[in-house]
Amino acid sequence: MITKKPLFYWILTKYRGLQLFLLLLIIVSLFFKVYPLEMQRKIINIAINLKKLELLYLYCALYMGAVLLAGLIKYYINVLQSVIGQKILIHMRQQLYTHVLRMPLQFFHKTQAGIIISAMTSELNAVGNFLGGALAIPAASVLTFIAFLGYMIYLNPLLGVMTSLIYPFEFIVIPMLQKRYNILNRKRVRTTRSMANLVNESVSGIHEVQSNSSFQLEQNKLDTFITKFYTTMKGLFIFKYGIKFSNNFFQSLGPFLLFLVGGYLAINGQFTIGALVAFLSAYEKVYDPWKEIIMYYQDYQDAQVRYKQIMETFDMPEEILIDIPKDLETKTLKGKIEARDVGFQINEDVRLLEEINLDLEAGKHLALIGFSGSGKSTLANLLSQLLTHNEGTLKIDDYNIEDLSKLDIAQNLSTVSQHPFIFTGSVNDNLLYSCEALRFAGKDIDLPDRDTVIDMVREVGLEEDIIRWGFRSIIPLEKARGLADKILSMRRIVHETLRQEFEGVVEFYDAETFLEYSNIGQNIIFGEYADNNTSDFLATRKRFQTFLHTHDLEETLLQLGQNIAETTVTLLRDMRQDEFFFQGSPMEPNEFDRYADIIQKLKKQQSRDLEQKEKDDLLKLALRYIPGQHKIFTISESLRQTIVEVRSKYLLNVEHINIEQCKDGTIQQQIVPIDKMKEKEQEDENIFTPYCSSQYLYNHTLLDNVLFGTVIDRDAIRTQLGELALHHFSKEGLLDEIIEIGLDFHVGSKGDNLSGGQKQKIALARALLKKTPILILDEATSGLDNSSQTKVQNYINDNLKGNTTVVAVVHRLDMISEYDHIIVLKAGKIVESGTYDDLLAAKGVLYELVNENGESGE
Amino acid sequence: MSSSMKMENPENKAECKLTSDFEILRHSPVFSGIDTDVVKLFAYLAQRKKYRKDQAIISLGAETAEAYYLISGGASVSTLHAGKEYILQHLPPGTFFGELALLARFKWFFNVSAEEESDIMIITRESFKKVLDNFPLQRERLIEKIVQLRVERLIDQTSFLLDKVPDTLLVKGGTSI
Repeated sequence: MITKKPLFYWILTKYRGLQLFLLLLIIVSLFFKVYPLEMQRKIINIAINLKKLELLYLYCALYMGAVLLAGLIKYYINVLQSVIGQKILIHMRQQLYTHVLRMPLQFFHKTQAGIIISAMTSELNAVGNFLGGALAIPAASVLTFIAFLGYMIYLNPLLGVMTSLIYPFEFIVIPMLQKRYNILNRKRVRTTRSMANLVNESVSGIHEVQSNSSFQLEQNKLDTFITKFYTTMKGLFIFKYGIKFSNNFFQSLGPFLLFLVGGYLAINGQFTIGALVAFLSAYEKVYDPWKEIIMYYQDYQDAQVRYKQIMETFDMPEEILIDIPKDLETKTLKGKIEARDVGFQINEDVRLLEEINLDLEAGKHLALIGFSGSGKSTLANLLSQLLTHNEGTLKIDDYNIEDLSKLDIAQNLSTVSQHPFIFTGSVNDNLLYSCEALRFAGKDIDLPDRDTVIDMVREVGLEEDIIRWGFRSIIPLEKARGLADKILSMRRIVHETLRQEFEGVVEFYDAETFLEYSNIGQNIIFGEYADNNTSDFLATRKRFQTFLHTHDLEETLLQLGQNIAETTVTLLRDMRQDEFFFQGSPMEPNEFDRYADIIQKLKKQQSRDLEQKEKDDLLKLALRYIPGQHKIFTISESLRQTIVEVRSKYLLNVEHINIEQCKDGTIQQQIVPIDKMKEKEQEDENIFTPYCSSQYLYNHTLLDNVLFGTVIDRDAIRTQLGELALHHFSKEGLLDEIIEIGLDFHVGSKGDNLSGGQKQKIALARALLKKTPILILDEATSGLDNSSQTKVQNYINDNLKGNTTVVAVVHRLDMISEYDHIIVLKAGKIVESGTYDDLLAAKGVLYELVNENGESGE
Repeated sequence: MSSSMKMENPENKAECKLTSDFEILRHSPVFSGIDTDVVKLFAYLAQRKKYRKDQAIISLGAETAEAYYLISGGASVSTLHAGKEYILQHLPPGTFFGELALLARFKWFFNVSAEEESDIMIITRESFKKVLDNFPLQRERLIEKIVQLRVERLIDQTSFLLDKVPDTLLVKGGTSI
């Protein structure tokens, strides 16, 4: 098992060729490290001594060449070493993850996610950094060390032996310090994990934390670890730098001896200066491999500590037969289930199930009922091989369940639990998850096609949710292009067929009327720029300002901006901190001071004397102003008319669009075809979209695009008009497109954007799409509303009877009458077993439950 | 502050929403006598909404969030009893209703629907709270007014109902005064 493998298993079995090559490189580089020393000696003793310039040049060149080559080789060695480490790490992580995913459920119940995450990621990374040089570095360092030492002894045996005597001392001191360091290091890993866990927990439970305002409580929990971490780290550094200090001390001891003894010998003429210089260099060089050995030793200890802790975490055997033997096909089961005296207990004394006997023919439907804690879910989990029984025999189609591989189970059985897990991704990804999994496991199956998926979505009552998601989606341009016809058809239905119903609920973009719920900027240009802030963009745009000037609107709008600023500043002076109060004004809270300054300035001077930037700001306010929403001010009817009048001029003169083409609200040829928009986008031009009814609104939701106007009464759409419109879309066969868009809805991290019921519906569809002969439902519809529950139950009764064995843990007794067989559990034992009618006639537990339920239900 | 109210162009003074809503509120029973700065803020935060004939304004069982002031049109208050709907009161223009929603969260225990096309001003509980957070001294006074309004409504509704009650419910010996 992977967790039993020692750290060096990975190093000794993986990429041995590369590691050997690395070792060879290191040996080659050795030569180029010693060679410059010899050159140094020759430069001083021969070239300088004999005063031969050409020799000096030669030796210097050789010296430089060797140094350069040694450096280059070292550079390559470093890269190679890291690459080898990362390559080994890939294997290690893959195998470990494979192991982790296959571990029994009990492990995940008692191990916090934070531990698993930090073990799989950062801790393993740290080990990986060590792996690459694990063999080559010690070998190379020892060799280098010996080479330099040998060279020193060759130069002068006495001095050589003397300086090498220092090292044995270090062999005693450093491991001693290291041992203390290791203890603290293990503590550090533990503390870090606890911290990761705690943070993970409070982040996952952030709802609870914020609603209980338990900030201080959670903070205190973390504080204990923070303090612990601090003390540990402090100790760690004391020993780490202690080791460094002792190293440095011994290192400077060498030259001290050298100068003392070597100097004495040189003075007495027994030793040349050149040799002394070479010796000093050699001594310094000998220290490099020594340092590397020490560092290697520390890294090794560190990696070993981490590695052991990782492996201890996951040291639990995989319980289930995962893979089928290569020569066997996965089994195709019919779905007969048989249990003989099945029992399940977790510890010696906790018995969750005992003496379970049942026979279920393939295709029959079984309901499990009972109080909570009676063992219903446990039995369901035994059947889906998530737990393993420890007494009796449990068979599917005459195979013992424990002999079936995970793949056999996955191919023949689908499970939906009460709180199903939804993966980060789109709805569609989640619906196809089970089918995709089988394909990745090597099964040659076809993924369900779009129509099958849509049908299934309808069967489990998810259609409405998906349509809502579809409408909320902003469709990516490439997709929108293909859907242009459909979107325009829907728009036509709303604008023409249902015009009367939507009157007063949506303000349609009508070219001839003033738009009360669009801002002044949009009203003038009768359109918008793809960049969301149309009015701010316009306010500083020269072309637009010139247009306002030539049509005598500049002064009027500046006055409007001034009026808005003045009223807002006066009314909200004391409330400027609270964003809430800015709902009735186009001003943002953070702009308050700026506008207050402008108003102050205007008290002393005329508006024409303002700086351009200040004028722009006032214009901005006017252009952002939405008459129907911003109560701070009311504009005159005549200004409304003027704006509508200049609208066509703006479109024609500035954007070269004839407004006549936009009138009537009928759909015409697109003025800027959606296809062309992509090109414009690439030119990085802010795309102008006129509110002509054939246009696609870039960066808007599907709903915005269908309504093509401003929503005034959101509630009315949600409650009645939405349904009415859908009815019409459905008649025209347009719903499937919306569902298809909705299927791409992103469910958020772990499905956070979904309700409990939506998650269950997705899980149900996901399981049913797999079309397995056995279906296990563990209160799978508990989060659904009544009509969806009934819908799902009807689907099970109508479509799965006779072809799919269903075992359902049922919480609603009014749904069990359709089941072929009913088992009532109590405290881990079967108390009643039979058909619905038989059990009712027997007037036993079920009879009581049903009647009790009926009474309390009224 | 009052200068800002007069500052708008004279041509649209009459139709300025902020000013007209301010006038409406200032003369309403709840806000009469309340600091004008506070009333102005309420006028500023209030929303106008048009209801069509028979459109529901308040639905029984829904969460409360806002109070209503009937500016024009008409509305009726009704409730369900033993599966049947009974009208409790007709509301004329100039009436506040649903005012308890400003004070507390609960579920509506009656329906209100428009009897004809009606123009209604809406004040949300959130804005009520936000404004009074800034003017804490006015809170008590406003709450008192709201409770008084509620008591009047109760008396009105009770007499509306009693007019239709058979004499069998008459207290023994009770005579008209």
